Amino acid sequence: MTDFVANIPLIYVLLLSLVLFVIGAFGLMTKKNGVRMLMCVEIILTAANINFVAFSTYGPLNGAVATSLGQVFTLFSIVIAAAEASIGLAILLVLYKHYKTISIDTISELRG
Amino acid sequence: MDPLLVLLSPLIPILPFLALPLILLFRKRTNGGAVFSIGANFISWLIATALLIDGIFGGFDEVIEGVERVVYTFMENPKIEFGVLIDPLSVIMAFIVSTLALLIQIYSIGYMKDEPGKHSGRYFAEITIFVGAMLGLALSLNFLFLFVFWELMGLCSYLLIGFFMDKETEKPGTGPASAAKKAFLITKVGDVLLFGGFVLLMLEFISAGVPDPLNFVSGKEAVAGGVFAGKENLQTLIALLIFGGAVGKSAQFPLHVWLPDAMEGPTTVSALIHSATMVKAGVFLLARCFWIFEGTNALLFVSVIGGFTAVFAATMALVATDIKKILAYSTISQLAYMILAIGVGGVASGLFHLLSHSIFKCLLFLGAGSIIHSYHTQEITEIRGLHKKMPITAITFVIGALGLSGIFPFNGFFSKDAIFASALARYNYILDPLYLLLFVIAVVTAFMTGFYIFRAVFMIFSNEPVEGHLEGEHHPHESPGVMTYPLMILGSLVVLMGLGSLVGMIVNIGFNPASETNLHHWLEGLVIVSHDALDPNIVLMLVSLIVAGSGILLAYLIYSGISESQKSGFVGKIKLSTRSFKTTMVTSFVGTKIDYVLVNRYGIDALYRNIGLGLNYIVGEILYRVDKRVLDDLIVHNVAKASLMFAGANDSFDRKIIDEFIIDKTGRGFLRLGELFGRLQSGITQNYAMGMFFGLVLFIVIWLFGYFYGGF
Repeated sequence: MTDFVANIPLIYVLLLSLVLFVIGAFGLMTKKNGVRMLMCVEIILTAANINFVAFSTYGPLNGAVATSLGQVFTLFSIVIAAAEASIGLAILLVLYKHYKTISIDTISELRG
Repeated sequence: MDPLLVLLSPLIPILPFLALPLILLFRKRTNGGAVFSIGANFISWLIATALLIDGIFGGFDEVIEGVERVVYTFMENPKIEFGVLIDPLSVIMAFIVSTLALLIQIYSIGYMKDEPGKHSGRYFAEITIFVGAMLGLALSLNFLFLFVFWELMGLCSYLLIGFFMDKETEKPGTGPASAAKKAFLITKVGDVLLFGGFVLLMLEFISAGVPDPLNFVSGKEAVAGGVFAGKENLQTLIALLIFGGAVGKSAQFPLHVWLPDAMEGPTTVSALIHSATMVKAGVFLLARCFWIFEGTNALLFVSVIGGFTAVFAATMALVATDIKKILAYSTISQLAYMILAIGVGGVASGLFHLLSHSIFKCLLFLGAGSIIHSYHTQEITEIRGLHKKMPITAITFVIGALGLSGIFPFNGFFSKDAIFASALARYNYILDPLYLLLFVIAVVTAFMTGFYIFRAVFMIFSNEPVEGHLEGEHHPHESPGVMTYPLMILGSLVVLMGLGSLVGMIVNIGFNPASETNLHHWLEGLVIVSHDALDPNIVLMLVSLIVAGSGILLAYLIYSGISESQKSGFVGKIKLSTRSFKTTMVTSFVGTKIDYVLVNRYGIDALYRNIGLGLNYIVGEILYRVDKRVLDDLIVHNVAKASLMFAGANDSFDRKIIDEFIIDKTGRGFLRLGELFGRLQSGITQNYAMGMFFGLVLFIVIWLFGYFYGGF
C-alpha cells in the first residue's frame, strides 16, 4: 500500500476519476436510452467513489494524517448506488410496460 | 329576687329556639314535633310564672328597680349585650305570653289534626319561634335585641299567615299567600320608621356620652337626666318614629289593613297573633319606651291615632259577616284603646287592658276556631244553633264576648273602665276639649263593641234556618277535649281576672287607697306617669256598663231569634219594630251608602292597592319612556347605525382592498409566475442533465473565485 502510494502520485488517480466523470456526464447528456443513462449515472458515482478512496489513501492536500473514513463512505456509496440502480431499473421496467419504449424523449407529458 | 330564678330567666326566650332543631329532626316520629314545642313552652311558662310570683311576693322592690341578667357581651364600647331585663312590665308580658301560647299550642293539637302539612313539622316549628321571639322581645334589655326579635316576629307572622299557601282563591290577590305578603310589607313600613327612631336615639345618646346607649335602663336614666334638654323637637321626632313601628305592628290607622287579611292563616295562628304575640308587641314597645314619649307632643298624636282607630275599626266590625274578620276588627279597635290609654299617659291602664284583652281575645279566637272546625264555615249568617250543638264552646264564647264588651264582673269591664278613667283624668288635668272628645269616642266605641260582638253571638245562637241550606245538612258536634279544656281554662281566667280586679278594687276603695300591691301601682313603678287616674270612679263605671249593655241590648233586639212565646208579647213587638226600623235605615239612600263604605273598609285597602298599582304604572311608564327614548332611540338605534356604517366600511375595505388588491392580484401573480416557470419544463431529459452540469460548473467557478479572491 505504501509502495503504491509512493509509486503513483495522487494526480493520476484524480485524473482517472475526472475521465470517468466526463465519460459519465457525456453519456448522460447524449444518450436517449434510459438504461444507458442509468449506466452513465453509475459511472459518475464510480468517479466520485475513486475520489473518496484516493483522498482517504493519500490524505488531504495539506498533508494531515490519512484515515480510512473515505473508504467507509465509499462502501456506503456503493450500497446506495446499488439501491438506486434497482429503483431506476424498476421505474424503467414500469415505463416500458406502459409506453412500450424506454426512449425517454417520448415520455414528456409534464412539459410546461 | 331568687338568684336561681335570675339565673334561669334567659331560658324563657331561649328554650323555644332550642326546640326548633328538635322539631325539625324528629318531626316524623313525633307527629309534627308538638311535644317539643309544647315542652319547651311549658318550661318557659314555669320559669315565667315563678318569676311573676317571686316578683310580686318576693323581690318586689328589686323588680321595680329592674334586674339585669346579662348572658353574653358582644362589644364593650358602645356596649352591646344579650340578656334579660326583669321588671314588672317584662315579667307580666312573659307570663301572659307563655301562658296563652301554651294553651294555644295544646289546642293546636286538636285543631291542626286534619290540616295538610301538619306532619312536616312546619306548623310547630314556626309557632315555637314565634313564641320565642315574643318572649325574647318582652324580656330584652336593649333596643338591639328588641329589634331583632321584633323582626323575627314579622318573619314568623309572614310564614304562619301564609301557612295554607297552596289554597285556591276565587279572586287573585286574596289568598293566604297574598295576605302573608301584605302583612309583611305593611308592617315593614312601620319597622323602617322604628329602625330610624332607634338609630337617631342611639346616635344622640352616643354623642351625649351615655355609656350604654342601647340599654333601656340607662336610656331612661339619661333622658331623665336631661339628654334632650333644649332638643325637644328631636325627642318628639324619635318618639314619633318609634310610634310608627307600633302603628305597623299593632295595626293602627293607617297601617291597619294587614290584620283583617291575616285571618287567612289557621285560626290558632290568628289567636296567637291577636292575643299573645305580634300586635301586642307594638303596645309593649310604647310602654317600654314611654320615657321617650313622656312630656313630648308626640303623646297627643298617639292618643289621637288611638282614638280614631278605635271607632274606625269598630264601624267596620259592625257590617262584617266573617266571624274571624269581626274579631280582627275588634282587635284593631281594642289595641287602639290601649294606645289611646298610653297616649293620655295611662300606661298602666293600657297594659291592664292588654292583659285582659289577651285573655278574652285568645278565648274568642279559639272558640271561633272550634266553631269553624265543626261547622266548616266562617260566615255568621250560616252558623246556627251553636248552644245546642256545642255547649262548651258556646258558653266560653259568650264569656269571651262579655269580657270584650266590658260587662261587670268580667275582666274587660275593669280594664276598659281604667282607660276611660285615664282619658277623663287627662281632660281634668289639662282641660283640653280634645281629650274630652277622645273620652266620648272611647265610650261610643264601647257601645259599638257590645253591639258587634253580640250581633255575632245572637246570630250564631239563633235557630232561624239559613237560606239555601237544607236542615240537617251539617252535623256539628262538640270539639275534642284537647280543644275544649283550653277554652274552659281561658274562660275561667276571664272570670278570675275580673273577680281579682273586683277584690282589688274593693280593697282599694275601702281600706288602702294607695295599696302598692295593686297591679297598676306595680306597673306605675316602671313608668313615670304625671297623674294617677286609676282610683275607681263609680259613676264612670255605671256609664261604661250602661253603654256596653245598651249595645248588647240593641244586638239582642235586632239579631236574636223570636220564639213562639215572645211573638205576641211585649218583647216580640219591640224586636219587630226595632227590626223594621233597622231595615228602613239600612235600605235608605244614606244607609246603603254607609253600608257600602263600611263593607269596602272605607276604601283604604283599595286606596293602597291603587297607590301600589299607580306607582307600578308610573314606574313602568318611566321605565318604558327611558327604554324607548334613551335605550332604544339613543343607544340601540345609534349603535345599530354606527355598526351598520362600520360594517359598510368593512365590507368595501374587504372587497376593494383585501379581495381585489391583495387576494386577486397575488393569485394572478402566482399564476403568471407558474406559467413562467412552466416553460422551463421542456420534457427533454438531456436539457435537465445539462442544467445540472452547468449548475455544477457554476458552483465550482464561484467556489474557485471565492477561494482565490475572497479568502474562504
